Amino acid sequence: MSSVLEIGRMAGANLIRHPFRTAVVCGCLAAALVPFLAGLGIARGLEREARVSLGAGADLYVTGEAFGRTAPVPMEAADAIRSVPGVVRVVPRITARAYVGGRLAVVLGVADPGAWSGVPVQGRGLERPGDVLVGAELARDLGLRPRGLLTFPRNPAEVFTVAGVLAPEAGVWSWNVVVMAMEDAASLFGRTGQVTEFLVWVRPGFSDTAASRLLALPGLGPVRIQDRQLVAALVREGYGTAGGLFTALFWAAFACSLLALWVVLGFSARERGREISLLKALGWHNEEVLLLTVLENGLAALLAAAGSVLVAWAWVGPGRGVFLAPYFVRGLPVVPVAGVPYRFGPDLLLAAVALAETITLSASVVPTWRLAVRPPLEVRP
Amino acid sequence: MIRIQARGVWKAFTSRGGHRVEVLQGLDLDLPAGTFLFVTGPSGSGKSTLLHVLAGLMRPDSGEVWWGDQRVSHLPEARVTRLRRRFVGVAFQEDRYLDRLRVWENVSALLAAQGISPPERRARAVAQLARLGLPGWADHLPWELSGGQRQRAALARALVHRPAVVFADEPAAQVDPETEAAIERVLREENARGATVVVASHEASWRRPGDRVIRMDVASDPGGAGRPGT
Repeated sequence: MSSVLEIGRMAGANLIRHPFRTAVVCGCLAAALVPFLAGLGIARGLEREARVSLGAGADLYVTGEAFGRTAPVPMEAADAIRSVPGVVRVVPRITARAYVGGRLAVVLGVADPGAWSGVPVQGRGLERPGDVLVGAELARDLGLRPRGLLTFPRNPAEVFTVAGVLAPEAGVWSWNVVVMAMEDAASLFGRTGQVTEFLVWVRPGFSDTAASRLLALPGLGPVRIQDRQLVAALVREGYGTAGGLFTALFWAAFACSLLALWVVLGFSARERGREISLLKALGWHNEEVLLLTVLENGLAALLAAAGSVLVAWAWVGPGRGVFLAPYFVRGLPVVPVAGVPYRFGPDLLLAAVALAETITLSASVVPTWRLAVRPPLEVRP
Repeated sequence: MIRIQARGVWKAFTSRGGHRVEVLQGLDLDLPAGTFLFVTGPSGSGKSTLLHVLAGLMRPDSGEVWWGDQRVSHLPEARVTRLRRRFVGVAFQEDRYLDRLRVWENVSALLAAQGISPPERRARAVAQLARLGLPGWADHLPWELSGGQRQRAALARALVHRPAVVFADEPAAQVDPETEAAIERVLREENARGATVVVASHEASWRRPGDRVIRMDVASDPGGAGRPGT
């Protein structure tokens, strides 16, 4: 055990006495790790925020269905839904996308505009018909301020008044949203008397039976019902990093860094071979030489992983996830209006260390072992 | 303490131009424990090669090298490294140091692999350096030492684990007579405690009664190289 400790000390000393090699190895590792960690951090932050919202949200989400796609449902269906046993509350809502000022925004029509008074806002709440609250990102891009006017190209005759601008702290979901009274939204989309979904709260344990009854409810028409678990699963899937441009970019960075690391280690192979030859001539065993390399690269990987976590945190925290956030939140600009939600935990650090160790060891163990099993003066790197 | 034997050892090198030089040609050697051997001869005669083959640092093309009852020339490398740590100390002719490690850290590099703590390593390294007249140089870096000092430090490194066989390649080249005397004294002390000492040198200037000397010839013609002349 003490020999492992002493070899570990020597491995640490090696990192210090080869600062350039150490810096390049750590730099290559960081090139792969930082985007990976920053991306995962944002994905997890967004997922957590979505879960918090979901936790405070409805038990069932009821939307209309036509030809396999979601469709509006009549507003009157609310009374029928309320009559289902176990249902305690029904809130209609309109959610849709619409262009405004050349940007695609989320339009949210709410049944109870007064309830929005609790949301941090610059200006005032929704008090009069035609009032809208605008997300911080949208307001910044379009130069909107309280008491300003807003029109949508799809219905330019309707002029809205910007009652307030939602504070960035309201959440990343709010940055690109236009909130208005449900009647105004229905009018904007030409769907008077219709909503896009009902949010349904039920008594504990009634979720499945209520959903079954709703599917067979006369007069409601074909509907699609999502319960909280299904939405949670969709959230998990949606914020994962298993697909998309981010993943492609990450693997490109990973491949480049691995290539760079191999090149660096290839350039230092002659020096490494000289050291291995000397150590073996002095009496070091093959496995001790290998252990020295493993520990040296392990320490470098640890150093790179810890540094990468710090850089990734700086990127998504104080740096607001510049250049990275748009890959996770559709519609976000390259420079977000405020910090995106993120979350770093010990598991991320462990993942970073594991990835860094995999990269460095894959690039060093086999070449070192090939040198170590040769007689000392026959080592030819 | 162990007996070193070479039986019919051949070793050749091929240059980049394809020129093949037979450095050792069927060499036989028997060194009982406690032998003090000088390997002499001009540059290029194969003195260093002989030391390296006997020390297990390179394998002969054919023939056998024995350390005691172990035929090291035919053992797996992993096994040879274990025996080398136990029995052998080598002081190289050329500069071979771990850059940017201090002299005492270089001298005690093997002790690190043996799990000996830094204070004890340092103490043992300083003791060996002091024997060779370098007590104040332990905390310097190798390149801060003169050529002769580096040779002495290399010898200190070869002796730090008290090996049964010491191979010293030109240990007194580039040193003044006083330093040469100190090096000889230390090697004689090692020999006196029972260690076999093999010194490669141009001339056996320290030869004493009882020492053995073999002279190597330059490979000027086939069959002329690598044969003990005396």
